[in-house]
Amino acid sequence: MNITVLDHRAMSLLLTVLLLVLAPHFVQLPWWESVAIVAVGVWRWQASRNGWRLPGRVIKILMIAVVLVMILAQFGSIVGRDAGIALLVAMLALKLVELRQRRDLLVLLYIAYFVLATHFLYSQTLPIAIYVFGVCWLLVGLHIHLTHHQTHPVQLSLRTSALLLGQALPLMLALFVLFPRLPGPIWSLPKDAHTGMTGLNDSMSPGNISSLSQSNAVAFRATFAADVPPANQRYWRGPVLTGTDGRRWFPISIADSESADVQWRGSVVTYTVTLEPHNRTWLFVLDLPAGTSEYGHISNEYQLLATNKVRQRLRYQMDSFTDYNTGAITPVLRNAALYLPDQVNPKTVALGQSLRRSNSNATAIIQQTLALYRQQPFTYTLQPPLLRSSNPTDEFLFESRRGFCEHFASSFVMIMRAAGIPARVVTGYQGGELNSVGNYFVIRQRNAHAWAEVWLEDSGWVRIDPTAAVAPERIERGIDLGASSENGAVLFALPTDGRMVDLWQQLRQNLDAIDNGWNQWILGYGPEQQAEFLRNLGLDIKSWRQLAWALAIVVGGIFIAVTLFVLVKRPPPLDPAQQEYQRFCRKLARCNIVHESHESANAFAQRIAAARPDLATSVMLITQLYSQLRYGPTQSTHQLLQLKRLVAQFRP
Amino acid sequence: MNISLRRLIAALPPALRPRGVRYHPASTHQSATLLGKRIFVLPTKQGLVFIALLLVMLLGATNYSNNMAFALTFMLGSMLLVSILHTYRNLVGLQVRLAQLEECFAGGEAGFVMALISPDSRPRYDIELRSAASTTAMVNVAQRDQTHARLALPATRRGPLPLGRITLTTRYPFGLFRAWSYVDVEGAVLVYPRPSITAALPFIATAAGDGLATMEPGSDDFHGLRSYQAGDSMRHIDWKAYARERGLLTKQFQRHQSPELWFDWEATTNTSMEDRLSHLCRWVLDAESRQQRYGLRLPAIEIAPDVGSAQQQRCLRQLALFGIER
Repeated sequence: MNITVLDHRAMSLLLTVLLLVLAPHFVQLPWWESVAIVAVGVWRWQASRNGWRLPGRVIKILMIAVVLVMILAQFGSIVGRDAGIALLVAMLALKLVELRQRRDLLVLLYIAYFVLATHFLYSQTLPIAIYVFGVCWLLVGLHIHLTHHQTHPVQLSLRTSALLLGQALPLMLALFVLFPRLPGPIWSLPKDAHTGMTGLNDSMSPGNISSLSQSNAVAFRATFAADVPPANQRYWRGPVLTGTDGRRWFPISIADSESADVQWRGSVVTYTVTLEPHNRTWLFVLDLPAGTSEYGHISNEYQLLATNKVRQRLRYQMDSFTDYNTGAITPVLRNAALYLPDQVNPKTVALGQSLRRSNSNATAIIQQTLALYRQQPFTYTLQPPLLRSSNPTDEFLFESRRGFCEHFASSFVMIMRAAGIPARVVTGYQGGELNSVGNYFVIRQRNAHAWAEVWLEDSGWVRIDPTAAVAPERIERGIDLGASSENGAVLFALPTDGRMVDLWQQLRQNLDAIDNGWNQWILGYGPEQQAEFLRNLGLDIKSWRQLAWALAIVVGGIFIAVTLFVLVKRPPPLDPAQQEYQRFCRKLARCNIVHESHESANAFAQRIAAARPDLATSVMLITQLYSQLRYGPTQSTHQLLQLKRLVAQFRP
Repeated sequence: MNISLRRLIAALPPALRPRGVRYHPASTHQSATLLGKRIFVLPTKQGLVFIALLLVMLLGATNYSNNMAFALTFMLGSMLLVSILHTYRNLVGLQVRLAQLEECFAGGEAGFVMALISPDSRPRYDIELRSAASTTAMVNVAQRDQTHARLALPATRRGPLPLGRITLTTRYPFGLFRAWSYVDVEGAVLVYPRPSITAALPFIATAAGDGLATMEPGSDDFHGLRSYQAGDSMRHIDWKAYARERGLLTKQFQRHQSPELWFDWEATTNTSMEDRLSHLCRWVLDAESRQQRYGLRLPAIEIAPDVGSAQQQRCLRQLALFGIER
């Protein structure tokens, strides 16, 4: 029973639209599934063209079984984001195989609508959004087209689709702005829901990675309210790593008293950070954060920690001071910052101890250590050799001498601790690129950095960046990816003044500014932004009930307006000759010669000729042409063009 | 309309049942307009499934805090809302006219040709008409134009057969919502009595008694033979031809001067009124097919002899309406 619900033309349209619906998923689906789906599409197209029989029940059940087994083998499960989408897409293809009745067609269309939404689980950028909404227009058009019982031109269906979407737009915007947003997930998300979020790790093991990720992915963007601190002070504080086993550095929570009173000096720096989701709790702040934030609390290691993991773009404002004295520390903190694991890195420990013996104060020890980094042949490189020995710091300091910020920061802290100076590693980001279009800084993953902090008797915690001792350019200018040389040593980007480079820079900044606006205002629109936006509108909404009322009133109002617009009876369009004549009348009306509604065109012309003999000729010509076009037995386009020209030239 | 909804409506007390547009056509030029307040809109089953799909999408968007998924869901939801207006607009203002009535005999099928008129600049798509017994195909109506659709009702009894309530339905543009309106058509097709199959034509109009018994054999000339038809008199069968295995043939006679036939109520031998009317109906049809002048005499009604379709209709109307309160 091969009931054909679609003729071949309609089937071709359906397959084309489905291909467009699925296309972005081909990037991340297992390759075999993408190939199988395209094959099924081609087969279905041929089957429709040649009237082939569709497979029977046994083959269909076999196909379902094979797909389930393959997906299970690939993902180890059929739930979760990736496996779920792979299954959904496979269902779409299988439905295509058994497309016989109207009901199958509807199921197919409904799955397609759902698949459209799943693209946003992978990317919500502006281009993807434009693509998905464009395909949505085609899909709606197809839906209308296939619902029609009478044959119907496709263009008309697409026009109806555009009309419907256009009329739905105001309602959609109102819903988008006012629909209550719940923070966080309702049920637990599959484990793979947040894969693909990049960011800092909560621990570091210098020497375990032979190549530093140089991702251009944006970590966060920052806008300064007033003055921008210089590049060498733009240290964005992230996880503080106090604990160590000699190889790995990790944060330890020190259940201790409040942080001591900090003396703030200089002027406050106020800034807003738009943080990309990284599935961690830490929020980046300029060294050192002052005051409090509604998004989290500041730990006794001056780290801003959010209550929940950051899984959506977060925008927060903070105050910081770049000049400060943190004052005294508690014994617990002091002990933690002096801890050295036994019998690891003996040479480093010995170095520290000898520095202590030969110097009278902490400042001198620090100066001498930094001088050591400068004088000995240390190289800043993104591809350092692996440190395989059980004493990685010794190996780095005395043998390889090649590394990046992690190596320098951790070895420095190790020396300091051995010399009896409390020290710790701080990770975060350093620098950032100014976008002059949007006047904000973009901090990318490759700006990730690690530095050291030492505690001094009279100045409290002080930031020391040993990397700056070796490669000051790293701090001043940042790294240019393309310019790293063959052996992995980094060349630092120098300002270039080629016109093409400028143009490229300009274009990139414009695109990033659009992207930033999109991220902040559209994608970052969450519960907080909603409340803030409504407050700005003068609606101080405190409860769900109030929000529901606001939603109902606004959406209802817009719906009534759309209803009036859709159902109002419009006068039929004027014919072109009439339109020209009305333009002519409007020109005359500006000179106080008004066409009375009871007056015939000829009577009007005679009245004008009597009042303004200078216009008589052109008025008579226009009137004559108009009468011919309107009431004459034949109408020529030539006459219409002539009338158009005459009216355009008419200057009363 | 789905059946459960129709059952639900039928179960309502009359005062609560949805009201239709009353259409009493005085002539075939008059039409009824579907007014807004007489149009009902409800989601179809597919529409409900679509709404469920949107709810699932909304849940997913909330769970993943995915603003673009929210935007897409709201777009589709808003479009669903707006599509209700288009479904409604596809029906509102549409005019219905009884363009033609196809009369019939009891046991046959009465035809009602309806004209659907779009009086304004809106084309109407996929309109379906349904009466108690039949459904038309989906039709389109172009702007300022009309389209005809035929509805049929089985005619079981003679007399006026009103079309009754018809339903105009549209599911344009998605099939997700269904708008419908009722029109209570009071225009009726006149159903004639079922012609009896066993009544031969009386050859002489008599005032009383059995016309066949007083037949004068010399008054007709043998005209020819034709194949037997149900209802032909046994006396006119050519039995000799039958014996020669030439099949059943009926002798036909023709009058030289055609005298007027009177079909009299009293001349029918049947006992029940309906049978008598069937009998008379058969006579009228036969006489008309032979082009003989005939008159009809019913209790308190007399139609003067004549021939032609006008005469036939006059007589059939009287037979159809005989004894029925008008």
